Amino acid sequence: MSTVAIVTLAGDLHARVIRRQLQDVHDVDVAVVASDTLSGAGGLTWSNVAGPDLTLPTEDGGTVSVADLDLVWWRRCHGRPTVPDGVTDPQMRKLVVKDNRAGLRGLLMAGFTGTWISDPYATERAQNKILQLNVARSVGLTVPRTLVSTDPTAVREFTRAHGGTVIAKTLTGLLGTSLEAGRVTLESLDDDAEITVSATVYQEEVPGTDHLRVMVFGDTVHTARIRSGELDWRLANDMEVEPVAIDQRLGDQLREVTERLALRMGVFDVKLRPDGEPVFLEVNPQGQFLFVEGMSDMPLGEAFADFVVGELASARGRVLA
Amino acid sequence: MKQLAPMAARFTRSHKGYQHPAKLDAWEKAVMGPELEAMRWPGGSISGSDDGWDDCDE
Repeated sequence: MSTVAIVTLAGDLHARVIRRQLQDVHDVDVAVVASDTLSGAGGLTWSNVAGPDLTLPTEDGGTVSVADLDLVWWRRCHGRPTVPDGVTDPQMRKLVVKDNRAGLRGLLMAGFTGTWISDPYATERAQNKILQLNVARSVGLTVPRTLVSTDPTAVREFTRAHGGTVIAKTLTGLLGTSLEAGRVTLESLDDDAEITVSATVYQEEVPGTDHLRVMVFGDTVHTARIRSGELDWRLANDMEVEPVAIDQRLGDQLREVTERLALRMGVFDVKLRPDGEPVFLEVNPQGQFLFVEGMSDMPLGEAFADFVVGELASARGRVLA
Repeated sequence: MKQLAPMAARFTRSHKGYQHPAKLDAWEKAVMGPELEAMRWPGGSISGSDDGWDDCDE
């Protein structure tokens, strides 16, 4: 029997749904490791002397032996980790979080020899939106004209060159805070101090109301169209979601982006211009996808579990070869 | 001292966040049943992958 670990945040619905699918349909053993509740859980052990097993704590209060793992779905590893109230010094609380994160990563890097979905360092690297846009363009995808800058002159010139209004958005994000994309006008870019505070993404606005949420799971591609009148559909109460087919070329390009970023999966946001041309916006290495099933009945939980089983089979094939 | 913030702070919604449509609510209840109360989506159901990927050491 194969064993899979899902590294995620405690109470993650994705982990529960996929675990159920893997266990009930495919007879795969699944351990959920909650990366944000390591403190106080016990069960994290590594050693270079004979004796203790290399183990990680599981969400159900047990432990899993790293040597038994065939695949790790590296889904979420940060969040807001819990630290016992008894640790009162703020600096010590930071150290607790850092050491537990390093312990989790180190244990897997040193003791896990199976398949990653996806490699942790590839995943973090692939989060960078500048890199994503570069890779997307290199495979022939249309991308918005973009400036990332803290230079007031460059920002104003770019905005002027794009009709005086552009979209501004963050390069990263903030847990628990909704930071939507927004329109900025040349007139509002009058404060150099605000522009120089942090690197911001400025982009031409892509017209249209239709977005594609494209789930690339290994070699398979699953696409939903999300229609919304809002600039940022995630904050819209009007979204309509339905499964669609995309042409082979777009699917191939998105798979190529996934591969070039050294990922095994990617969840893409693509906007459709009114003439139907797809424009790459971003890829989320571990993007949410079950909300698409919830809104459209696409069997994505099943598809993802099939993908995991396929990865397990491929790994076995490589071992036997 | 002058108050400053990243450009994105202009567009921060502090009150509503990501929407959670009724259809999604219904699906979650159907799929998870009584377990749903113990569940949470990192950062919300409909969220970007950045939620839970804060790479700043806090």
